[in-house]
Amino acid sequence: MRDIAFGQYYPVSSPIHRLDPRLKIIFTVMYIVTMFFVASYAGYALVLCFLLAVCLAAHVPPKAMFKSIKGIIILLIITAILNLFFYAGETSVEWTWWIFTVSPEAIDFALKMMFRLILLIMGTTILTFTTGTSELTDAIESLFKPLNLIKIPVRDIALIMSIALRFIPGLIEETDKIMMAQKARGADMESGNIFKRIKAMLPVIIPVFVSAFRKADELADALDARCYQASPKRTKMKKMSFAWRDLIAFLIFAAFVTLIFLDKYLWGGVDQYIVQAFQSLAG
Amino acid sequence: MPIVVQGLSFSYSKGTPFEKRALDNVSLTINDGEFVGIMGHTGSGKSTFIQHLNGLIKVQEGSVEVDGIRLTGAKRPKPDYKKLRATLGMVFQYPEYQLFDDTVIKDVSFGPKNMGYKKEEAEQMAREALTLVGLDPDEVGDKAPFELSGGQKRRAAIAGVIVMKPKILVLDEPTAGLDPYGKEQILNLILRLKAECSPTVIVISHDMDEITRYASRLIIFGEGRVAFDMPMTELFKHGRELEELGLETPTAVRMANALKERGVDLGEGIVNMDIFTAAVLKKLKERGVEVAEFNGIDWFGERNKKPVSSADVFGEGV
Repeated sequence: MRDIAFGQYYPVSSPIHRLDPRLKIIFTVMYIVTMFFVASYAGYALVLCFLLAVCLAAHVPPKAMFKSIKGIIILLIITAILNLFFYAGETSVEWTWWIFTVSPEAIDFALKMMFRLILLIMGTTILTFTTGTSELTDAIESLFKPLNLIKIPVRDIALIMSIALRFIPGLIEETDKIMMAQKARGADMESGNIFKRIKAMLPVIIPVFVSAFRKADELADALDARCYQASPKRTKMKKMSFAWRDLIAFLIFAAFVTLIFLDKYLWGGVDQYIVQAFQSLAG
Repeated sequence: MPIVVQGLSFSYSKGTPFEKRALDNVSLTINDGEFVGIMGHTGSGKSTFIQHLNGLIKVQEGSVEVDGIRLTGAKRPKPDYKKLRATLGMVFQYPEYQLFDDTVIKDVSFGPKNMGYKKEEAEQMAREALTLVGLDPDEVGDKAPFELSGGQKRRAAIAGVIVMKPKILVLDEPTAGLDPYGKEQILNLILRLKAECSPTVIVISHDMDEITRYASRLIIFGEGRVAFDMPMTELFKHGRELEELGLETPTAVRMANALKERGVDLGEGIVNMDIFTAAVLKKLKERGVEVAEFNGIDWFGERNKKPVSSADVFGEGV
């Protein structure tokens, strides 16, 4: 349980870690949107290079980034298979065997979809690798401040989020402990089919839930006892402000996004040019 | 058969920036029939150490052998974990948090059921275990664990471990969060379990006064190593080093030392209050003061009140 890569903060110092967390969130959202406009394999290669560069700048080993894919591997396989066999677009050639039909376009589509998912996860992981949870909630609170005007209690929501995030490590630790306790009583959670395993998790899940409720209760009491309220105006220990490096990061990121959009709308996918270039070289 | 640990080292989150060395080349042997106290400051590796003993943590370096079952870093041969866990019972800190089933009897019989016993057999074993820890199976057996009081819950959870009649019983801070009377009762329970079902007992504790009253041997952990493993009377001569590890010598030792500085030498071998009191009384007798016969301290004034039998040790006070 301790080794979950996705969503784990890497406590090192780097230019990426020092970027304004608000900017990093905006970048991540823009990155996610941009991923849906990548039109060619060359484009995916560019995204990968970009991610690797960011990773190196953040002093995070690229291995850690690739590890984050492990969690979605089943999802990847299922989407790839579905896309491969149930592709609904125009097809040039079709190879049919029994009920399965595959076409070059379907392979192309399935591959691109897979790359898109992988890169989406890897990109968003960089945000959590380089931004601590309190920074994240502060940034979200700051970004959603305008919603205060329409009476949405942004502060309260941010508080709830930060409490929820803070509970996660404790709950993981608790789960670890209870798992050990039940294993010590002979519980077997590693063998058997999936239904057996789910059933074997019950002796862990129930105590963890009970303890989560207990902890939440205690925390609520502690907050009450100190007359804590989220709503009044509070000052922050760490003020967020934009710096020069944020502007530079923005320019680099903008260049990256521009390239992707140029690829789609101006060049219409550079893959064909690359193929042509190779063909003329060969011929 | 004894527990033999050789060259055991362990790091958490190996290969990441979070890597933390928890055990560093630990070697020791625990013989049958010992009552071992393990002490150490937070993060000294004592919990990591005991979790190795029944294979909850995979061995990275070194080896552990418990009752003939050998655990090493190698993948094969695969050790018989089920047998190991039936041999070595482990009671974690705040064991009451692990209760999960809808009745106490079902929860206690979880262990034997995992070991492959039939439902009826498992429930019979559970009833025996509940009786052994001082709970009445007819009274609490069908209750939900959440209906029990704090002390009862802890006893039920301990029953859930000893139900498999382990030869070795390991307890991680069994008295944490209890009042003095509750502590006393849990410790007496452990002594009784040692006499009746689990001859070897290992207890992690942070209370010197408490552990020296029960344990026959103390092992002190410090920064992932075995800092001290020697007879207690020898150990408490190293007061300064113990302090550096964040531990204090027992009150009895400190009082004996204070008396010695003032010219009253009580002699060697003082590790707990019982021995201290006996020594003081002996000294007084030597000087001609008349003293009554002493049979150990009766901390809660209950020695003459209640017969000590399995079923009727616990009051409702825990």
